Amino acid sequence: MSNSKKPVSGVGRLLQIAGRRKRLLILSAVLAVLHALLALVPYILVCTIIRAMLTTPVDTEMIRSNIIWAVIAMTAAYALLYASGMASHVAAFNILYELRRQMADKLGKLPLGFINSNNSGALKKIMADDIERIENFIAHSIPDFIKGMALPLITLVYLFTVNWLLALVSCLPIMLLAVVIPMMFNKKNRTLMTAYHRSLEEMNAGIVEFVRAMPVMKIFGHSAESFGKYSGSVYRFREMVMDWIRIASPPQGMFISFISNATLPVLAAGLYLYFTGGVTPAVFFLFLLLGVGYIRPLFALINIGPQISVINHGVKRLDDILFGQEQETAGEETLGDNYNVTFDRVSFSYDNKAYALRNVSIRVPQGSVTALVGPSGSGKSTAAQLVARFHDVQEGAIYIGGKNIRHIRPEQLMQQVAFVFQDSFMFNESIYENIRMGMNKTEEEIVAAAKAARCHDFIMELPLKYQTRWGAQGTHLSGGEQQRIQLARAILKDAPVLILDEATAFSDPENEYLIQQAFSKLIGNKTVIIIAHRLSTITNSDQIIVMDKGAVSAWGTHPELLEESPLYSSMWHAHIRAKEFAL
Amino acid sequence: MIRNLIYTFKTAPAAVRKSILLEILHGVFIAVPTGFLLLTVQELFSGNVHQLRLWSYVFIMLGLLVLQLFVSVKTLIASNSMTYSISTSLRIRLGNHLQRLSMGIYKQRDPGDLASVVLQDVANFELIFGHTIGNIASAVFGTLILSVFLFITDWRLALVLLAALPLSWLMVLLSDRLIGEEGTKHVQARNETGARFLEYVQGIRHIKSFGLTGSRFSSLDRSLNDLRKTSIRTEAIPGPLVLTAALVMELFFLLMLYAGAGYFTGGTLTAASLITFMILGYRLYGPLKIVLVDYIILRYMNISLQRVTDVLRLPEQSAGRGVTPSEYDVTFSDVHFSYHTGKKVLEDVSFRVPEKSMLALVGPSGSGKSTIAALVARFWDVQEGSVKIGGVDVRDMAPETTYSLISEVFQDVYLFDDTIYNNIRYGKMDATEEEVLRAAEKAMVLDFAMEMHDGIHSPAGEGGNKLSGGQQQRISIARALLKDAPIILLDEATASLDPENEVYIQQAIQELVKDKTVIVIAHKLVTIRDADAILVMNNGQIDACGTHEELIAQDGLYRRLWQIQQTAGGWKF
Repeated sequence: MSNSKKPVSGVGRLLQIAGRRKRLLILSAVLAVLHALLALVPYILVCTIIRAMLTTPVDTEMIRSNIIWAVIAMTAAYALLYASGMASHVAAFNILYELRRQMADKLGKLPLGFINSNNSGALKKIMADDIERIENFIAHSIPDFIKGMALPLITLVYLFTVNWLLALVSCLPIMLLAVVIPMMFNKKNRTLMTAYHRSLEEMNAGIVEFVRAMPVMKIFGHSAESFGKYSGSVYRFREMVMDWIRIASPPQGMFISFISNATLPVLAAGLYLYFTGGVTPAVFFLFLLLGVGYIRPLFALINIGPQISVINHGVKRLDDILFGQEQETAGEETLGDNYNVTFDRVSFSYDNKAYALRNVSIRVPQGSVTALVGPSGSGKSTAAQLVARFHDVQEGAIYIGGKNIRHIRPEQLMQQVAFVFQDSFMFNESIYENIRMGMNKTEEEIVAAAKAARCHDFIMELPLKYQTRWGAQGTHLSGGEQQRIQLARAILKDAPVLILDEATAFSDPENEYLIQQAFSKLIGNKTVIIIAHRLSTITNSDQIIVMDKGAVSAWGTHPELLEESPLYSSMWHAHIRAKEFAL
Repeated sequence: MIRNLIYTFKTAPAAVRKSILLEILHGVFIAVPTGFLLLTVQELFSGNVHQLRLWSYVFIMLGLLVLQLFVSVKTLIASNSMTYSISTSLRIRLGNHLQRLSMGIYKQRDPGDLASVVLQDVANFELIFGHTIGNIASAVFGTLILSVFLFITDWRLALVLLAALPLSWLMVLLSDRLIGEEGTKHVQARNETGARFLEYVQGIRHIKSFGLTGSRFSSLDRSLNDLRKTSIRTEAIPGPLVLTAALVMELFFLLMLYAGAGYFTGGTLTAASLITFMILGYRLYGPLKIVLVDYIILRYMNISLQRVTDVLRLPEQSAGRGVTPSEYDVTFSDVHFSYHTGKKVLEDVSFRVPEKSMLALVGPSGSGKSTIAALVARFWDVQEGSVKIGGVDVRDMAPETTYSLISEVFQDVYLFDDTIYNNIRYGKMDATEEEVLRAAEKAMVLDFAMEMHDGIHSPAGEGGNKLSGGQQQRISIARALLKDAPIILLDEATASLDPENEVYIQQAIQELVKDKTVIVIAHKLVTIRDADAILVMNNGQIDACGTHEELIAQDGLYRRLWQIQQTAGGWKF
């Protein structure tokens, strides 16, 4: 479905989603209709009793046996209602689960740029709230709609056979509402709905950011009130909702008023017919009774309209993700027999405006170490990320072992590349799992990797050692320690292509030294790309590539570049000066 | 539950009062048509029919309908306004409160979880409360009014109908316990899912690079699956009891008919009364059946409210006596400190940093350097001993006072999803444009910002993800320069995040620390060899203290570290 066109929207799309559990939902609907039929029994019973009372002698035996049947019917009706509800809920929650998985899956397949350009709080709202609302449609709106329609329709047909005029009058309020409410509702509703969602997302983003940025909030003395993104978005959300409510309340109030007075037309018409002899007392009472009762399920319909439009807006947001353009993999190629990494005239832009890389050609032979250096913004991190295909190049191609990485299945590509990022990220799991990262490795291997990355000692001091959960009480690791966990992951992965983006930037010099030694042993026959700020750490590289403004400015070994590249030599001298920095 | 509800009501009392009054009025309007219906039926069956009177009932009902239209709308607006006034004030209270908690809370509790209290739990309240409150009000008033009618008509049948209520209620109470358990699990599962999802999105690069996207990222998948299961259980388990409660009402209605038919044939009940009961029986139970379901939902909402009030009850950092120091030396006296596990992170640490001097903290990672800095900023409170600024214990100051005295330049910069300009301005919200630009220039922010599309008004991205580490760092220095606090806490490693501009960052930092009390966490010892004092930390204790010359002369940890650093040579291949 990845490349299929975005399909229908609105209710059609919701039904398409619900269609994933068609059988369960049909079952639920059938049960709901059966329930509705059985729920009529007491009304019919009342009718027969009234008839019996108006004839003499009163047949008490008949009334008694009817009541027993009614008891059985009602018990069955409720059992059916439960079964119907369960069927629709099981269907709904399974569908929600699938949609959420699908969304997570899809986010993993979209280019990184997509996530970077979306606020995580807003994405979370789609995952948590927008998808949750679909439950309402599947498990409530559909059965409510069927019940809401079935019972009145069945009753109406029955009533028409009894007295067509009163039957017609009894559905007057509904017909009136059916005409008036959509008229009152649809005008401003759509724009308000969009504004509502935007406002809610904005508030989500503000709150998530406020909590995440708490250290900054504290140190700069910002309270929730003074942090405009928090309080402003909270107040704006209220204003927004109140605007909406002012518009939605008149039709809703009208509905409630009409429904609670639904007997009025029947009463008036019935009285008229009664006095002119057009209706018997029994029939009149039947209408007074049913004329109220049968409309009640329509109460459930009152909210379906607005609910669906709320759900729809959420689904639209979800669909933007589900049908987003993912990275394509053209054809499936087997891997090459080596792991040379080659950039062939690669150009890349994040925003289709300014080039981040322009016409870059690089060759990194297997078993060698290549360092990418250059001023910040020169494109070295971008180049490294392209090897892992976090983004797709616009022009040119990148090859591993002679195979275009766009032709290698993403999972396979990821197995070939280990990446250590500048910023580490810890997951809310045990340290053990944080190192294992889903890889199929033994405990010995994990401990060995931790030792090589100089993690073992500080892990052993944690309260539960390797089983300490990150984010639980008392887990506190410094930035350097977190980065070493990341290194342990990469060591454990043992992939043939290794990319180190400032892998030891946050380590203290002692550990940096030991880690570098450990890694140097591991490098062996791998293809290694290192990005390093401290030029003195990469002077031994087989090849140093100097990047400047998205292009390759020079390449060679350290001594060669000192001679030939003015940029490199100025960077080198700046570095030497910086090393002398004293506070 | 009542306690939590009252607590929330107190956050917006005026709106609550108005809403309750209108709900009562509205309840009367809903009940009145039924009353007229009864009068009509009784008159028709009494044999003494007054045509004119019956028609006047119809017109009175018509008139009341018009009035009810207005009252309904006003009531709906008032009850929603109450709901959203409460939720807004809860969100603001939560926000202010969260900011006054000690940072320790954020280490104990997943920040994602705290965010979902403000978001999801308050939203639960909003959606459920606004929806149910009207139903409950009309059920309560409707039942009261109708019961009076019924008892006047025939007390025996009225008793039969009302006897269903305690039985139904029993079912509800039973299901209550089940919902308490299941609902808690469900709320937990929801929030867990939210937190795992945020983690997934925020860590997506790392996840991708291990091929763990989608269902292969097991902790997200597990939480999604848990949510699915608990959602189904939350529906399935209390369901039978709730439906039984409703069924009990249906059955009592039939029982009433049975008894009524008996009384009627026995001659102790008139046809008019029996028909009254037939009509009213359903009118009585209808709203109550809706309330049964609403009550369950309210109980569920209460779990969220409980989480909200729990957070609001977390202790804030005390403002002490609200003293403001006039001098800015920093003193640690016999400080003992541990995070929550009991393992001592600092043991018996004492030192003094005179005003406008520089103290460097050195030592292996995990030796307590960062903790010392965090204690100065009062992110935590010490267990023993004291931390003083200008002779005043930080616990005697309002936390805002402490923070106003301190600027931090650390590795983990947090940038807002806002422009670079505004990110700098967070350092001092009332700064003039000129001041912001001057800080930006001194911190070398302008150099890179000017090359961006919108200059200094370019967006930084969420968490600064549109900028390099070095660029983020320079923004954080600009922020600190703008704030111009007398005490600077500095992590020296921040200076070396960006090689070409390292020199400039270093200059910016030198600008920042000029004439300030400075505590610097040092990694490269060469950087701090001129510090006024160097404190060598090891395993949470002070190993040695002195100037570079003094320390290097001793055969200790400092000299060993110094020697290793002189030889560390970079990647060897």
